[in-house]
Amino acid sequence: MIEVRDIHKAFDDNYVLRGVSFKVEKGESLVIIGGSGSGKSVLLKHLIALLKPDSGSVFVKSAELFRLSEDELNEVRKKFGMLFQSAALFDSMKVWENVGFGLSQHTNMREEDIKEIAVNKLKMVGLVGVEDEMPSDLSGGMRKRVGLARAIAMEPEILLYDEPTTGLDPIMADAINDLIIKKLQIRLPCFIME
Amino acid sequence: MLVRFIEFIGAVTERPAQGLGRIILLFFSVLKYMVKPPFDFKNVVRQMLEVGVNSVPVILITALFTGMVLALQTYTGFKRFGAEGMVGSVVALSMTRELGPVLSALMLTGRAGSAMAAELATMRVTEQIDALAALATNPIKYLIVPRVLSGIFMLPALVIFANILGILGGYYVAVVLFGMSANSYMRTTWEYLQMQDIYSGLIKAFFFGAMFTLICCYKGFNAVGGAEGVGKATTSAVVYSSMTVLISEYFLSAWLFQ
Repeated sequence: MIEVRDIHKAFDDNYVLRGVSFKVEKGESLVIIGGSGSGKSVLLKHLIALLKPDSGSVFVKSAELFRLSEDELNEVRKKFGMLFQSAALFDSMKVWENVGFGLSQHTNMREEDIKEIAVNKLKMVGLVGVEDEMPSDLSGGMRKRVGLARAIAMEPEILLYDEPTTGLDPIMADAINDLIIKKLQIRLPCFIME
Repeated sequence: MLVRFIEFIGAVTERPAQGLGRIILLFFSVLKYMVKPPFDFKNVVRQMLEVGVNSVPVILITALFTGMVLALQTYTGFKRFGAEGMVGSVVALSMTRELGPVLSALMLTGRAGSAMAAELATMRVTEQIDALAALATNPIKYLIVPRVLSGIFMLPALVIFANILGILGGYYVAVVLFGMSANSYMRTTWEYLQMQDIYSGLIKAFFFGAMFTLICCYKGFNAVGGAEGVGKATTSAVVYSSMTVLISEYFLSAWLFQ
């Protein structure tokens, strides 16, 4: 389903990825472990074309990501859900607007229906009654869970997690791991851990 | 020696030239996404409120006092050679042709442009712009197009208000404080004011609106680093936008009034 072929990436003199290759099939999970600054997040961003490699290619369902037109690439991106290291919530929007952002941009659903879906997704990650809060009013663990709810809101086929438990206390980290493994019934997650 | 001199010139001009080239490329991207559906009118209106409506008090106070000080200086200066009767036309021509568009653009750069740069820079360093792209939403279309449109349309609108308030400020000083005849002030205001003066000011505002929003968005969008990067992006956005407004003011004036 996803194939990474010999990708190289450098930022000025800093060589981050040197010939990385792997393949992940539908239903498989892949965990990438490495020290801080070893290029895990950089690799993950290549899978969704947020970064372009200096050489090499990434295939998603046989489509070569960096040869697609912008519209085709966006269609591929709709198959992904991504939880960012810092949650990356839109701080000018309410929690439910964050979760329902993809739906509001890519469907013709009414605002009330999007909010209902967002509330349900928030429930799935164990958050109740926070939908009208702003992200700045939430704790770190809650923000990560909102990020997770946003990642699954569009029912993606592929889920990417960039350090989903970094910076959380052990109990919250365990809760997030539990959510990812058991409750979300994931089909193809990529874990990134230090 | 000559080679070193050429190397020096190259080193000094390389980064500004790259920056200019990237802003021009961003401008073409903005044009492309402006006409590419779907159109997010809600987002454009939100930006117009933020950039335009919320800037009204700042622009009006600036224009009012500019008109007042212009009348004050002109009246006392012109009185030396008995030309104080021309205050009305000096205020009106200065406001519509130069001061209205330039001061409004500078104030809007300081108020709205800095906020744009800081907001986009914060979004960049906290991965929110990456998150937008990951959610299959083009960040230029979603973030920059509405801001540039708001600058293009709201700055000329604000300049109209600024021109009116500037002329009224001049009226207050000349007529109420210095006792000049109200009829004389209004007559000289309209006598020498031509439609071209007003149009040219609005055309300048149109260009300034596009320029300051593009530069501020470019700086914020390409910010690097953490809080320090946000600060640097915001500062350079305001400095470069203000300089661009002032420099282009000369060339636009030369083009419009030749």
